[in-house]
Amino acid sequence: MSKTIVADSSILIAMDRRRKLNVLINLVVKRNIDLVVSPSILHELVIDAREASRKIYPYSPVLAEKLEKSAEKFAELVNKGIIKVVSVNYAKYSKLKDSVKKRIAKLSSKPEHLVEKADIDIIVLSIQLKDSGRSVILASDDKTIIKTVKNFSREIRTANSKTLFKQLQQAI
Amino acid sequence: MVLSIMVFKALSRDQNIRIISLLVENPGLSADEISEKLGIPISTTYKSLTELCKAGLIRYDVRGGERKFYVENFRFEITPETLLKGLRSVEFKNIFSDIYGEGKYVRAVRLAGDVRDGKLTVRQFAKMLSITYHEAILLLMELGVI
Repeated sequence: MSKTIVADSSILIAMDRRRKLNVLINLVVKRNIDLVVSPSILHELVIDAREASRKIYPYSPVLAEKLEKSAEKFAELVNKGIIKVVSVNYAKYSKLKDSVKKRIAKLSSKPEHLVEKADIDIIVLSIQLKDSGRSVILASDDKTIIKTVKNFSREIRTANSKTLFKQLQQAI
Repeated sequence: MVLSIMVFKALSRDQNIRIISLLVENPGLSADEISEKLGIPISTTYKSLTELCKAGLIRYDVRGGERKFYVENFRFEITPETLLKGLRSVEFKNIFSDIYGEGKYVRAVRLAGDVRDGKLTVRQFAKMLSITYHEAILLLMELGVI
């Protein structure tokens, strides 16, 4: 069974900040594991990071430079095909998308229009890849996302930045 | 005292220096009294007082329903090294208030509790504070949520 990590921006940014991203990348390359993000996650990793860098620059040029380098690193990993970008099949999963949106809205006690598309995408993408016969780990440091995916599939394993390596040793 | 960009900004304005000087000699003045004594419009006075408070250079007590302002007993040692250290800060929470103000920082800390409890996604947190997702992650990491 093909092995896949669906990664949220939170876990990739956190690992990069904690200097553990290279360890993860080496592991996925060595063990032939797919590291997958949605287009909206890619946008956050690259475009959003550059925007944050511009805002922070007048206050801390050093931190801004770190963000810029982080954006470059993620763009390079995508260009090299180490991080794969997979789109959600909205036509096939439109009902699931609505259900996920409702669930997140309920968990956060916020109206549905305040549920972010990237939050829905990462959950639907995990289920979509699981349905295609892959062994999926959804990796996120966002507890609400982890809670939500567990409502929709027990077959998808979950991990945060502290437990991902352990999960990779055990589950895959 | 921790040197931040906010301190340098506050001390770079002429009227802020005049307000500090006035308060050293006349502690406990109200905004109206400061405005009158220095001949500065009241709106500008409020703006300066807010800036000086945020920078930690002055403080206020509320007496008789009115804010009375006092100079904090601050002391700086500015060397090229300390100046560089301030600019090299890589702790986002240290500059968050400088960028967005103290009020938003307090709100962010409160909302971070909801993210920690799984009642709010990081993206909702970012949207509610009108900050980028990347800034949200940096702040939540430094607050120990992630």
